[in-house]
Amino acid sequence: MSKSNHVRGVIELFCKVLLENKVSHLRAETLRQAKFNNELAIEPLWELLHDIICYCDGKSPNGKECRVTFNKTAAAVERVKSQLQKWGYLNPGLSQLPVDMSYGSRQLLLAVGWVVHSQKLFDQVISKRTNPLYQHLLTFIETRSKTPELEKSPPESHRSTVSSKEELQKQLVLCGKLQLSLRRLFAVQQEMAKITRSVHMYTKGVNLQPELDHLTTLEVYLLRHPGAMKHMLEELEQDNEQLKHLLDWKDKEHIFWQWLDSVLDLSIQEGDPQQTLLSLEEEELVYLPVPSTIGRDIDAARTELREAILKHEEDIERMEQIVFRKSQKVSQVEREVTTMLMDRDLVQLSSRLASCGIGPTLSAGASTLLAEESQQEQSAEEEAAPLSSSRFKFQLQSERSIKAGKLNILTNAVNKKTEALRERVEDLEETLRQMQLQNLEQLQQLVNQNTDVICILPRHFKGLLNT
Amino acid sequence: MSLITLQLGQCGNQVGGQIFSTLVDDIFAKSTGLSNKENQAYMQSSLEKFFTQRETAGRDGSSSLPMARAVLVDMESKAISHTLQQAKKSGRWTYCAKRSYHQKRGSGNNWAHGFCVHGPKSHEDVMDLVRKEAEKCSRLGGFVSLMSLAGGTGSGVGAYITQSLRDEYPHSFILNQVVWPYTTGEVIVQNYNAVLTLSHLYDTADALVVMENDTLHKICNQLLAIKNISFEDINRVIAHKLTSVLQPCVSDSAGGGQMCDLGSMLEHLVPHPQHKLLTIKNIPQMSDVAREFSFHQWSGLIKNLRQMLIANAPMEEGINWAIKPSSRTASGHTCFNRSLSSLVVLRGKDANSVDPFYFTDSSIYTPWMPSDMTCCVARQPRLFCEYEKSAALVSNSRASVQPLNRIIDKAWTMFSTRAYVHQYLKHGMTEEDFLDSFVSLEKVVASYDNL
Amino acid sequence: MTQSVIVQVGQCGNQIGCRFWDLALREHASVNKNGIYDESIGSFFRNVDGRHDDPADIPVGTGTGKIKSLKARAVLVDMEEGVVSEMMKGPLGEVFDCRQLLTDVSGSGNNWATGHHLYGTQYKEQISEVVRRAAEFCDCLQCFFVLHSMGGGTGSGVGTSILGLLEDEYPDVYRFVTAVYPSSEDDVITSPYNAVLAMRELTEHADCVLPIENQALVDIVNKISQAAPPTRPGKRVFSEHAVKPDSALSTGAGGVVKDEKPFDQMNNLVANLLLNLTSSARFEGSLNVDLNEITMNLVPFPRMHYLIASQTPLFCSADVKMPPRRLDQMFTDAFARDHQMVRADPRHSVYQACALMVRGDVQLSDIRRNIDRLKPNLHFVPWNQEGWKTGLCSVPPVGQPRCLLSLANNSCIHQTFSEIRDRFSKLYKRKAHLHHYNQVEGMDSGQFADSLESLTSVIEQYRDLETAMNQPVVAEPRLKVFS
Repeated sequence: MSKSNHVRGVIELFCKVLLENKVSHLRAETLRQAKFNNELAIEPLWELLHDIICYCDGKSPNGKECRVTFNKTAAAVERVKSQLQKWGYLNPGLSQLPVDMSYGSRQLLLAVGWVVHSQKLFDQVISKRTNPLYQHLLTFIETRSKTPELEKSPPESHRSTVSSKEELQKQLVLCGKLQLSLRRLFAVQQEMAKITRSVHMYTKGVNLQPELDHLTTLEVYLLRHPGAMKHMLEELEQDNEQLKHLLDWKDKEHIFWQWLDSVLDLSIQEGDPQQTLLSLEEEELVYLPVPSTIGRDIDAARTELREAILKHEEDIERMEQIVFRKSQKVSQVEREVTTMLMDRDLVQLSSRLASCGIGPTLSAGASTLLAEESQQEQSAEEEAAPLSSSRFKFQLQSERSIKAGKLNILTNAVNKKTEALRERVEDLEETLRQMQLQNLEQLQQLVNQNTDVICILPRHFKGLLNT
Repeated sequence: MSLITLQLGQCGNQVGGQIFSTLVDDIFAKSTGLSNKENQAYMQSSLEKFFTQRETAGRDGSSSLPMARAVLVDMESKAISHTLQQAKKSGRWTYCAKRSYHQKRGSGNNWAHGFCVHGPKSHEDVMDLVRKEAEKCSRLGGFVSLMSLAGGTGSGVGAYITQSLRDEYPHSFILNQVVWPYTTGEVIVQNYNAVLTLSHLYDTADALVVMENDTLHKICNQLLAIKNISFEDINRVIAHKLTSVLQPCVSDSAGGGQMCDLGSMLEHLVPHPQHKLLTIKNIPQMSDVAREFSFHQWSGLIKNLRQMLIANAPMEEGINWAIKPSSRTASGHTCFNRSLSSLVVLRGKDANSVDPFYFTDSSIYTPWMPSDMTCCVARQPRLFCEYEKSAALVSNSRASVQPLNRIIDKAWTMFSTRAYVHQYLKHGMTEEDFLDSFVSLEKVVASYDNL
Repeated sequence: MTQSVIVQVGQCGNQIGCRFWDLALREHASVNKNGIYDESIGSFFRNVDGRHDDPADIPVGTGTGKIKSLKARAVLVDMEEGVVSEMMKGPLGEVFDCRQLLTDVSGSGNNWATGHHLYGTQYKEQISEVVRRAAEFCDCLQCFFVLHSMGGGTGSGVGTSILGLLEDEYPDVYRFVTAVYPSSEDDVITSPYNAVLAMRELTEHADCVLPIENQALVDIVNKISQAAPPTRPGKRVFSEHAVKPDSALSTGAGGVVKDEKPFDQMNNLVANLLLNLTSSARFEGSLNVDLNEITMNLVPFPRMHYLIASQTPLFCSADVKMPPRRLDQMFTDAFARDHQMVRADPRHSVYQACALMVRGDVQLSDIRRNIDRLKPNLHFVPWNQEGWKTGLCSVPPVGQPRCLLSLANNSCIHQTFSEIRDRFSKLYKRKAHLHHYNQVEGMDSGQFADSLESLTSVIEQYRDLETAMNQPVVAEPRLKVFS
């Protein structure tokens, strides 16, 4: 029927697209066989999964770079399984499949479908496509000339009995050659850069690509070599075809998914034992075996970690102690500096007070007294055996508090003195006012007595009199 | 690929002038043995390498003759003006007159004066000139410096300039062509100058091509039958040797059919950092008159060349055929001239079909060298300087160290009496510098002896 | 191109200088037929515009300007006026500018102390000024040539003080001294004192000294006149060894000054020496030897800078055919005792270094051939077995197709010095004439002892070379590399 024809066409399209985009070789027949749990389809499907994984990751599951061919071992199968689990496909049906690839192609087919969707395989395929016109000139020329790659045979090791001295010389020679070759490469690269630049410069204003304003070297080459142009045309046509296929796929994807749906229905229908939920032990069995030593490894790692943490904490404490001790030692110097500063301030203060005539005359000796006292404390500390940090802190605080206390006493005395002075000033002002008043009254009386004397008082005095 | 030539000192300038003359003679030679089109390609590439050419005469009257890619440096003006004049006189090529640098006072055969005083003073200007020349090249293949070891300018200023070149162009290839003075000297302190220069050049240059005046004199005398040998004749021989190697040729090596450029030649010849001394042997070498009447076979030429290498003969007469790779001295040491690596350049008729199996034989090379890296062959079917067949052999072999040994001996004897040393100390050197140079050269001699 | 300044001091120095300028003009006239002021003539002469009072210097420029008026790069110093004023009155006077002269009236009385301490300090400023003026006119001054005699007062005294001044003010410029040593028949009694005192200065301050003995010059002149008898009017002289008239080294024919004075022939020899010495620096050739190269190569140790000069050929035969043996003969003669400017036998002494400056039509191969030929007969120090410096200038001297100047640093010079020292000791032992010296301010008696000691040490150094000549050589072993 037409629907099955469509399905067939779509499956073939699926395989073609995968092939063209260098994902995997696959025959359409395999997929159809898998629907019916055919044994023949098992291996190719494992390979397909492996290839898809490689394509998506860029690495094969065992961590090595790029395209390793699937070598059909148990280990490889387990790797595929583990990668699928990492991606999130936790279907016990897949994980239960035996590593010797004896059955289960339908499960594999379902897994393929899941992977294609979840990893957005075709989106990746589309995004990795490039325009042949954008390729580098040298790659183009290489594909065109089709020179066979020079098989570099490894250098002969002709003398088996080679002394170390000679070996050394040989290595020096090879090293020297490498260096000189590097330099040549560098020079050639520079030349290429220069030439590219001149090509770009000379083609300013003309462009085939919208974002540049000059021709690329590839374009210039094509313009000059009509044969190459033909080759490029061929490449472009090929590219075109592939793109058409992709477009086609996009249109007909839904048929594929419908078909896969039918596969799923079929598997449920047939009551694959893998579809039922399993008990916990069985579930555990399902998941990939964990190396038996892992429990021990975890414990060992945990104790190691604890020990490391303890050690570090001890180290940190020790360092803190050292820092404290250092700060003590340094504070000797600091002490001297602070005493000097304090001296200076005290002397200033006392001189200011002395200039007012009163106030304790503090000499520079005051601060040295403080210094001496704290020094005694210091030496007492040093004689003692290793002390705990809390004691240090206490000591420090006590010195500081002593200093602060002494300062307090001083400031209190100063405050008292200033208050006394202020009171005195007020008293004096008061008496001054009194005397002013008295004088004014006397003046008034005088004025009153001598009638031919006119007295003009300044305004504020008038106020005074009146009050 | 272009090579920039630096001509340093009187000797360097004279040799340089001669080299460009020889090049022009070869490029515009009449009998080429090739079709016109192929010859055009050869001419083009050779001109590109050594000259810049303007298409039409410039508006300011400057010529459309090929202009040599050269920078001329000397501390006196006489040699430079002479060379410039010679070039103009020839009418076929010219120098760019602005690319010369000279001072008023010479270096007085004093290496220290050249290196410590003149070098730093002229550093900026000379580097400027080099830069301008380098900008004109689309691809800089390397530098060829011409200098002599005996004088003060060529050796002292030359060593300083090579160092500056290396600093400014760390990835370029620097080939120094040094003229070894006559043993019975031209200059009394030549041994000191030579020792100091070589030790400095060894660090900075990639390869040193050694041309001994004594050997060249012998060649002029016996082969070319010149009665009164002047420096011009000797310079002509030097020019012939150098150009026979540097003119375009195609190398045989993997990736076949590549043009042999300076970089690939050096990569092949001087891979080992302690072995940088190269010698060039040419065959055949005849006067112009004899050339017309002689006829050689490739097999004969190559055989002679190989024996020249093994027996360390400078020319094809008087070769000691008794020495073979298997010959041993009484104490069991090998007594032939062992090489580290060699480059054979074959030019002329049927050059493409000659099999140089004589040179790929690994018994003439030192045992620890991998056998595929020992010999490199380059070919060029176009005739060179109108020789029907000619071959040149550049080798990195033990023979280069003999003249070095002699010079170190004499310099050491003089140094142990501290004669003339005050003249060097006066300009800022110390005795440690002398000793350092001696030490590094002794190391070179020892490593060559171990070949 | 570099310039040199000639400083002529004293009677003898000025007479030599006079001959030198005459011959220099003659040489440049013969080379420079078009009267163009180029760099080679610029090394000794300035081109000035004579119309102005203080003639301005016309530089070389492109080297194509014509000569307007030449002025010599010279400084003339004398404490007596006679010689200098006579020179100025003569045709050579135009070559000198009166600002280049420094004269006094009273002379030095053959007293080194008077010359050196009295006049040296008195005229120091003025001399410095004159020298500075001459130096300023030079684009690139390379060396000073100081000409003086050792026996007199002015030459030796003032000359050596000028030497010290030059060293202080121009340390980079080389100082070549041409010193005429007194012979034993010298009529100045105190000449040994003057010579020894001056020697000390020369050893300390000069870069290179060319000692000249009067007696040697007399011998050479005699030799020439024997070969070339002066033509008598009315008689034609046939001789196998007929000599070309202006080829003799001692002739001044063709120069500006017409009358020949006594000593002129001898002075011509010295003048020719200077011209040949500087020829390679002035003219072009295939092997240029600059003056600094001479000092560099011929002075291995700082104090041993006394070079014995000898020139060949003395005259040129009129024979048309010139077999090449003549060329070789030229080289052989250069090492013969009778061609030297100092009477000492080089053959049995040790050479430290030797320079051969060849002018004219000689090829490099000829030089090398002759070196190889002569080497076995000459002793060189063991550490400098190939101590030869060669220079080749293509411009021949006036009147001869080629000539050779050899400068040798040979230990036989200690004999000359020993003779002087002996004469000095004879006088010094008896303290004769010392009061003349001690009277002069600035002089103290210790200077005599110091000078004697300095001279003795130089003699010792040279003599050590000779004693070492016959001993086996112990070579210091070369550095070895650990393998």
